[in-house]
Amino acid sequence: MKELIGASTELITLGVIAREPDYGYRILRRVNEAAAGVFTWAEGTLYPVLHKLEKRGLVKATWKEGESGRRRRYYAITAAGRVAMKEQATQWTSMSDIVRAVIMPALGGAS
Amino acid sequence: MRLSDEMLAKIQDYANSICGNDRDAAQELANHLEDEMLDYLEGGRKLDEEEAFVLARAHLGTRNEVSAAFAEDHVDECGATRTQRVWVCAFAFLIATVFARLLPGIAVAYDIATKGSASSSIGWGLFGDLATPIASVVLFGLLLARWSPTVLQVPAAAGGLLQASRGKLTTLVALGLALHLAVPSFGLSTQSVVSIATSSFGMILPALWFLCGLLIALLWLSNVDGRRASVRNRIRTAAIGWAILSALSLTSPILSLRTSVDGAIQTNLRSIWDLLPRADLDQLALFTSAFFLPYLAAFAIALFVLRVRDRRAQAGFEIA
Repeated sequence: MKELIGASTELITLGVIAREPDYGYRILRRVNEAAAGVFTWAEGTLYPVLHKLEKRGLVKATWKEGESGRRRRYYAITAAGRVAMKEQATQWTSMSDIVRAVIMPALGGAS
Repeated sequence: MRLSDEMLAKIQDYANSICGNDRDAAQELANHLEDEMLDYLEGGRKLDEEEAFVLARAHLGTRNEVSAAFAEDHVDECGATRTQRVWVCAFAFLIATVFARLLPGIAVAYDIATKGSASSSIGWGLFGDLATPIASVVLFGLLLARWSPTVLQVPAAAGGLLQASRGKLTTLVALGLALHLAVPSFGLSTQSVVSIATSSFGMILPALWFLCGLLIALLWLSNVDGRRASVRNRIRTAAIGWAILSALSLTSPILSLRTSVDGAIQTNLRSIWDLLPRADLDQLALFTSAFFLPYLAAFAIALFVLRVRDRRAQAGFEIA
């Protein structure tokens, strides 16, 4: 599970930001809500992921004043980020289909 | 609701210890901790600021994990691979060593050609001894200035000790290099029939041996490949690697050579064997202690401090 979470971190992050630009803490809260206890991220590792995405031009970061009046670094997805998200989502879906096709018959379930 | 100024400063210090010189990232991390703590404090739980801080830190992940993740982020910034870094470092040190060691060699050749003896070249030998470490320190500084986020990024440093003192560590390593190259030359040249100060070729290999040890230490401490080894294991491995290289340099005719006054090349072990019967034991003891003890002491102190800090850090998370 740990490897799967690690491999999907980038895609999930892009997905969350694509719906609405947000800052790190709120991104984490939104991911944890969506995960509904299936997994939780080590919170501190999100920021390096966001920074990598920024360097690759997939997200854009801007310091802005948040609702509380404190400055926060907001991340918004870029056009390149949307393309990358789509590609990665396609790969995940394909992989998921393959795993299901191979594993489910072996488990005696429907493929 | 607002956290106390004292707590905000504490949060910022903690974030700085993880993110090092990346101030934006440290600010972002501090904001994260502040948000989370306010959520705890406003969420109806009976917690004080300290307890909320411990909880927020625990959820953030251990300091080692988080700083390792940030360090990998910086590794990507650097276009140079590990192999390239090693080659450039090795080449730069080699150039510095050859340059400095050629000076006394030229002085000896000049003395012999003009006076028939090499007596006055000792001063040039000392100059060469000093020039090597100085040139090496300058080169080392330039290399680190270019690659500081990667070469000396120490993400898994327990307690943030090494990470917080990257600049100091750089200075210490450079000084270690200077001492290492200067001490044996001063020591032996005054008491031995074996001439080290006037040997260009003989000192290059020991200098390279030291460089290898240095690189092993740096590579293992710097996590350039994102290895997950603990700091303790990194230092242990660096120390063992260095010890093996040291042993090889004492015994192998390939790794350590000396040029005697009659021009013969001999192993370091043979040189010491020749030197022993006529050496002043006090000077030899001084030479040995100056040569080895600082490194052993430095490793021992580093291990001890890291272990203590590691335990303290772990204790902090266990409370959570």
